Amino acid sequence: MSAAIAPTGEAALVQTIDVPYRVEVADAAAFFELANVAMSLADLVPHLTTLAPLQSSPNGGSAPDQATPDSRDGDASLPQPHLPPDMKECRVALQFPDELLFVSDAVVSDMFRLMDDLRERCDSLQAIQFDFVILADTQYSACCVDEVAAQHIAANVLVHFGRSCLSQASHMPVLFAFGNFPIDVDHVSQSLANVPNALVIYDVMYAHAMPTLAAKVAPTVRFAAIERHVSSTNGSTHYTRNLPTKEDLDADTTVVVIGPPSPLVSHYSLVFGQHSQLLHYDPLSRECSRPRSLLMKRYALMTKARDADIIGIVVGTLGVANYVDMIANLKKLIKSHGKKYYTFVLGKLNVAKLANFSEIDIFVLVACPESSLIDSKEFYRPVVTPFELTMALDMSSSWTGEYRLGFTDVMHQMAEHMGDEPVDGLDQQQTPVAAISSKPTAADSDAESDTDPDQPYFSLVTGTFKSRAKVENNETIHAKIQDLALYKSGQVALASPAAARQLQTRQWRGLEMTPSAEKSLEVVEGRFGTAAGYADEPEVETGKGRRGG
Amino acid sequence: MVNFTIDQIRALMDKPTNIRNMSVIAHVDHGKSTLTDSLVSKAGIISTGKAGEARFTDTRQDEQDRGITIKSTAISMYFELPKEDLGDIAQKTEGSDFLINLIDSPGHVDFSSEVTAALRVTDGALVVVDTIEGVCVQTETVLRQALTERIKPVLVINKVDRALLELQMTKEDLFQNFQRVIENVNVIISTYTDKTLGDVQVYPEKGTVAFGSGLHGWAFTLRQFAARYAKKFGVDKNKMMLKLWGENYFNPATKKWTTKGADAKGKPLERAFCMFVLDPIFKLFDAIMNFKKDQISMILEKLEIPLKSDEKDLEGKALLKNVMKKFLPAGEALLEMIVIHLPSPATAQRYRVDTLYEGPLDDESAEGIRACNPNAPLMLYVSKMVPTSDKGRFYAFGRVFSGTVRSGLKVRIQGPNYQPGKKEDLFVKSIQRTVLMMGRYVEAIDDCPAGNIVGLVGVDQFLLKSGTISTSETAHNLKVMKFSVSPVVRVAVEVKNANDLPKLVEGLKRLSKSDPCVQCFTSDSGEHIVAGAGELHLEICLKDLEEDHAQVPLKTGDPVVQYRETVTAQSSMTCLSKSPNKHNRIFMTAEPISEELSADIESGKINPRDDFKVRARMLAEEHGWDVTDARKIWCFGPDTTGPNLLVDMTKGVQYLNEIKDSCVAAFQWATKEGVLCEEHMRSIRFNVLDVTLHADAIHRGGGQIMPTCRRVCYASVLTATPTLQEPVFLAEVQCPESAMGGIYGVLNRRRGHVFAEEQRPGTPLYSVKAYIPVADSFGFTTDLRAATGGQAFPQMVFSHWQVMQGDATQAGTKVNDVVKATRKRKGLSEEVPALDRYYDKL
Repeated sequence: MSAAIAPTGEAALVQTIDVPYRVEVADAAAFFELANVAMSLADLVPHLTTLAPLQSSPNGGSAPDQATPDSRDGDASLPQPHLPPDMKECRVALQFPDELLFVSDAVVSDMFRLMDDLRERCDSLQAIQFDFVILADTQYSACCVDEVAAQHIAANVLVHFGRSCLSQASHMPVLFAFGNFPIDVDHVSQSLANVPNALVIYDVMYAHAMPTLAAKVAPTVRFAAIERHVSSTNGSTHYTRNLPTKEDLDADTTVVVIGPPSPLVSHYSLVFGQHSQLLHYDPLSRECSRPRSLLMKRYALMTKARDADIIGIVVGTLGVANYVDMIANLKKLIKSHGKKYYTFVLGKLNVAKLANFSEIDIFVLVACPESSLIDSKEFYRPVVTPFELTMALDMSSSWTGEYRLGFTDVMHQMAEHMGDEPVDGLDQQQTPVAAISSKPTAADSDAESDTDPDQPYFSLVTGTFKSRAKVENNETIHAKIQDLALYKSGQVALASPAAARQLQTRQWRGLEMTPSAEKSLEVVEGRFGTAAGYADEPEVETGKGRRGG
Repeated sequence: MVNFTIDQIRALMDKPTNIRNMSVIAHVDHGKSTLTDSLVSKAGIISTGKAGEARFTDTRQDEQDRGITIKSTAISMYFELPKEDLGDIAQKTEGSDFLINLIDSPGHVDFSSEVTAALRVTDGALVVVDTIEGVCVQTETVLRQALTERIKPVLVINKVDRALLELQMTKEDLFQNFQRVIENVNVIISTYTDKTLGDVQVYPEKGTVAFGSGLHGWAFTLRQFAARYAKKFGVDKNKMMLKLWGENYFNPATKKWTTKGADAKGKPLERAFCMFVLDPIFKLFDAIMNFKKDQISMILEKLEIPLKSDEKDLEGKALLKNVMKKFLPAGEALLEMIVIHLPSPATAQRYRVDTLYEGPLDDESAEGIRACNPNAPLMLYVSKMVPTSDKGRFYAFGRVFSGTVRSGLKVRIQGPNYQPGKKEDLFVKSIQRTVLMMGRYVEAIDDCPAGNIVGLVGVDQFLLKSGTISTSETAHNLKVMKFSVSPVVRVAVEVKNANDLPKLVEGLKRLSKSDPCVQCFTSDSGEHIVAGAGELHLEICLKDLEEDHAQVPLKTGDPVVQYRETVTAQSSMTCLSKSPNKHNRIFMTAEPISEELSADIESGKINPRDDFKVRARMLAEEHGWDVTDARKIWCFGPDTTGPNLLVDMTKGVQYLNEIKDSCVAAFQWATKEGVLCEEHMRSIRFNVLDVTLHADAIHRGGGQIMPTCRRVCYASVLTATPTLQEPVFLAEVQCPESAMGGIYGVLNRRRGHVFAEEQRPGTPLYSVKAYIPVADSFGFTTDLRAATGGQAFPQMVFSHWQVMQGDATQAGTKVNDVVKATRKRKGLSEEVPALDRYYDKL
């Protein structure tokens, strides 16, 4: 058994959930229902033999770099699956969030035991050697499947433990073990006694208690069930939350979110907060509260995003399906509004990392729905979600308070705004990025054809007029190369590209680029020999004196 | 019947020597709009009968309903001056016809920004003062503004009828009263006078003071009486004018003029002003108001006032009005005074150019302005936006200082942040149409040459409130207007129906355009904020927003005051913060800077663009700074211009220049969102004492330094007895003595304190000046009216920032309560963050 626990990096500011109680290590098997996991694993194995395991290329290949969304070729250079004639070994990656890492050891030994049991009973598994690898300190948020790390260790299957955001992984077969986190069902039902018309949305760790709860509360209470889907091709599982549409919700429906204080709560307060009452039940503190609506704060961020000229796209996931298309779409959107973008792959976000890029006006984080809502109060520049950026950039849009976080939803939104065919996320494998035409979208000028395209707009951040961004991309800069002007002391002033503009405002511009006034010296041959007597020195008698020194 | 045509006006526009651009300015309720009516009726735009009641320039329904002017309104009028008067005009003129572009401005202090916008486009001002109330706070404010803009004033003492009818003053009392008003005005003028403008004090004997009643439609200057008596006495008119004012007496017995108040026998003589000027008026009043029919006809005959048959049946006030209008028509007196004594654009632009233009005073634009040359490059200042009948569109209202503007002309539209040579805030567009502003109407004209006031169509999309329009590529901006009021009162507005949000946003934009002073923006908590100069201003703005600009139902929050975070002592220790990687340390302290210095920075007297040596000398000489410290000011903040300073006091720190940009950015951020309740900081000096940096550049990047510097700023504030500064209004209340008790009672309840109280000489009125915190001023007006039976009416204008007593971090103090309330409103945790969040142990 090998453990791939990377050294802990800088403390992440992304909100993580503490689990302030101990799972008894001895109970780990029951807690995570490991027997079920083992069964599913056994079910998966036949698929694995036909499908082919993913193996890392011999030179290790730094997967995160290759998968940089800048180069869609990253996908092409991913380790190519090859079909082994006969499956001998199955490597299973066990991904733990940091707070559950302490049970990993127990889980691994339990899994060994369970698989051995299974092997005895099942012939098809006889030949296969199971190998378990623990993954921790995930690159991005722990709620998502860390496929890249799994690929590094050439895992065939990944089992995700603990809380999950239920984002669909794109590459590898995944199993989930949420864990049966304790919850006082009686207390919950009491708390819900006076909200008969409720829609209960629960965190995955409490899924086990929901049938019991359903029996105890009024029959009018609905549950947003978590449904399990098993892929017929590779036996991978994924889950979806069965949410009613807003139209299905009555006006007096109370949306109850059960779970620890987490982005899940913020997420649903944004999605449903506009239309329904919202309650949050925290099973740890056993408190029922009304979450503060984030909607207006997010709105303030949108108004800021509207004023941004330079946008940083921060890649916050390498696992969630369709993220590459999302990034491509964002780039296209930003470009079509004449703004400039830069793409960053930073791992977990923190203040210090983003503050290194003070030139960026706003960051947009591409991540799973739950980790993309970041309270960027402490950040030098705010961090918004792709949906917020889309809404902000579309001047004419009438934002009515609806809120979307899922990639597919947002991409359709973007496509609507750009008046384009959406880059369809569902058949992403067939959609090469090159197909995303970079034709200039005329959506802007069309929408306001009666007015001037240069017309400044009213910025709600400053309360003044702001000119529309006219950041040239590289082609136009080259076309305008004659516009280059030499300013004093040889600094090059470009017409108005973003970077040059930024440089103008800085006092420290790195080491002096202009040659100094002093004349540079010619290279001359130096002395040769040892200090006791250089070659160009006259021979002196030994003992007579020490020359040079 | 309008007695002129647009073509006549257009023809006159080409003669800058015969144009008078003037604004009517005064304290609220001193009768500007009413007096303006006399001129408007003289021009035939409204009938004589309506003058004084129509208030033609109050074009909005709410202006008519409330009886106050809210927006300044411009009107162009054509007049002909009698040939014999032309000789009195000291400046160059051509012909006897004149174009007067008049702007009627609001008097309420909350709308002062409208006055500022009006003054910018005019060259002369008609200052109106109520005989009884005398010179009030707003009279002083607008007069000061006029003089700093180099606007020449003339004075009208209005509401003389009240002195006669209500106060039953004697002639001598009335004279003394006039004398006092004139003196007061001259005191203000000489305080703020500008040498370039020459002597601009007002003198009745020179004809720069008129007396009259706007309501009754009569007014006179000494010139009119002098003209009457000049024939009779056979003296020159100008000499006669001198005799009619001041210590000049006429002895009817000897028929001699003297300067002594008594004759040879010691018998008191009647002042010439009383005898020749006031006497006929008093007699007329007395006869008509006391129904002395026989006397009336006799006097009318003597004064050569013909009455129509139907007018002869009138009695009392109606007759008085009628007779006085014929005897001393206000329009004529004012017109004469305006044309003779106010400067033409050709005269005024010669001395105004250096206060108007930002660029070098010898470039083509400056030369064009100076000469008022219609063939020079166009220089036009847009001072405000006037709503059109087309919803959401505005006329850009402004003055052509140089060149000629015409429809279709391609111009450079330069916003307030435009800098020559840069493309920021610059648009090159065509003028769609040019119009003449005529009160509630506009008239299209083809072009408009230098010296005139004009409305432009098609510019409103590119300018929010004001800006410069030019055709010269080298043109700098015309100076941005400086308002005497600042938007300190703010409310949050939200839509009742979420789907209306876009309409609200559009409405906020339009509101922002339509008022020179109002500010509309979103706060960090996502609220839409409307900020105005006072309660009345906000009330009007919100009404406009809901009814005209957004046209959706709105919810309005309570008025909220902005505070400023400051410190009251030096940091109790040197504060240290370490970077996230623990490899860099910044040591800093905070200390207060003096109120005078803060005020100087805010007024722009000391600014970040000054040469650092000059600035350091000024700081050392006037504010007691150490010269070496003063030379090492890294920056001002927030927004690079605010009254907080970051001072480098380190010695020999390596790589310091590399981190300066990060420190400056962090300082801007920290001063913008203070540690107490995320309000701006004010009057804090941050001293960077020492910095330890990692030797490897990668470990001392912006990401490490910026959060650290921000934290250490916060730590320094928290250790320096932080507190808040609250905005304070200067309130002036005029009321009779009986109401004084009520005023004191209301003020005491609202933490106000009276610092001056004086009786207006010759009147039973008292004037009380008090400071009252803006936070406690909401509802003050209503409260005061209730407490004084409607006799007291306050004028409040932002005065200064006042430090609140106590330590904001100590629970139980008033300032701590304010901090907590503010934090709560902004959705922050209620407690001020503890020091250890920002301070790191060594």
